[in-house]
Amino acid sequence: MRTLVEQAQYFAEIQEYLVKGSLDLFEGYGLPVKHALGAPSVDISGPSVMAVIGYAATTVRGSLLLLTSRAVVAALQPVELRDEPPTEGVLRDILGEFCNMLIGRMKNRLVSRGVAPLLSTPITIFGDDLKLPVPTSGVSGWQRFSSPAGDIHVRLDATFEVEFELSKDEATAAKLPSEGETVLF
Amino acid sequence: MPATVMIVDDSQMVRKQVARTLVAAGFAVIEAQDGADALRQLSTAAEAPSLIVLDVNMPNMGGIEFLQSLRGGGQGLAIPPVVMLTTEGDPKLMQEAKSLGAKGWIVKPFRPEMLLAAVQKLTQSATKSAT
Repeated sequence: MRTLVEQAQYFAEIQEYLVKGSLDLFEGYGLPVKHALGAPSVDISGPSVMAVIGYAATTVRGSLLLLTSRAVVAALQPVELRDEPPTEGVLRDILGEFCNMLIGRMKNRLVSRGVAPLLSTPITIFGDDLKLPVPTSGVSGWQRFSSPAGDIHVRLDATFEVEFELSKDEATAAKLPSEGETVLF
Repeated sequence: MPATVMIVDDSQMVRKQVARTLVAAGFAVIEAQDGADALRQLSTAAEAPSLIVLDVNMPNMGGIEFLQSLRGGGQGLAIPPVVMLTTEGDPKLMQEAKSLGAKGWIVKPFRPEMLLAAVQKLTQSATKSAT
C-alpha cells in the first residue's frame, strides 16, 4: 500500500512531465512560454476556450484540462494554416489537438514507468468568463504558462488507487518512439 | 495520375497540415474525420487510395477498430498500406497495429519531411508489389 506522501511524490513527478511537455510543445509551435505555478482555481475573463481529455489506468484516473483565451489559441494555430480568421470550430479543434498532444506526451512518459492509461477523445468548451470548480476528490494541480499572447492554464486531476506506483527506472524509455519519430514495421 | 492518400484524423488542424505536406509533394488527398467516415468513403470509392494515414484516438471509431474492420473486409477493395499518425507511443498499441497490418508509426507532432519520406517509401513499395 502506498502512503499519501508517496502518492503526492508520484503526482509531483507526473506534473514535472507535464511542465516539460508543455514547454516543448508550445515552443515547438512557435509560442515560447514561461512556466509558473497556477492558482487553485482560475477565472479567464473574456472569450475563452477549454479542452479536456480523460485518462484511466487500473490504478489511476483523471483528466487533463487546458484553458486559455481565444487570442492565445489563434496564436497556436500553425503559421501555414493561417489563411483566414479562425472560426469557433477551428479554435476548438486547435486546443483539443494541443490537449491531445500534451496528454500523449504525459502518457508516453508514464508508459515508460509501467503505467499505460487509456485516453478519451477531447471535449471542448467555448464561452465567455469560463470558471471551474475545485475538484472534490483526488489531487489536482494547476500550471500556468505565460506567453506574449496571454496565459495558458493547464490542470491535471488524478485519483490514485492505493496500489498505484511508478517504476523507479524508465526501463522501456529507450524503446519508445519520441515525438516526430517514424517507425516503419 | 498522382497517388491518392487518405488522411483519417478527427483534428481538422492535423488533416490540413498533412494534406498541405502531401499535396505540395504531388499527392492527391482525401480526408475522413474518423474511422467510420473512412469506411463509408472506402465503401463507395471506385478504387482504394494508395495509402492511409491513420490516427489512433478518434470518436465514433478509432484507428485500431478501423484496422480491424478493414481487415475484416466488406469494402471490396484492395487493402492499402496504413501508417499510424498519433500522439501515442505505447509499444502494446504499436504491436497491435502492426499485427493488424499497419506498416508504420509516426508520433505527433510530425515533421513534414519525415512524414513525406514514410509516405513516399510505402506508396512506392505498394506500387512495386502490385506490379
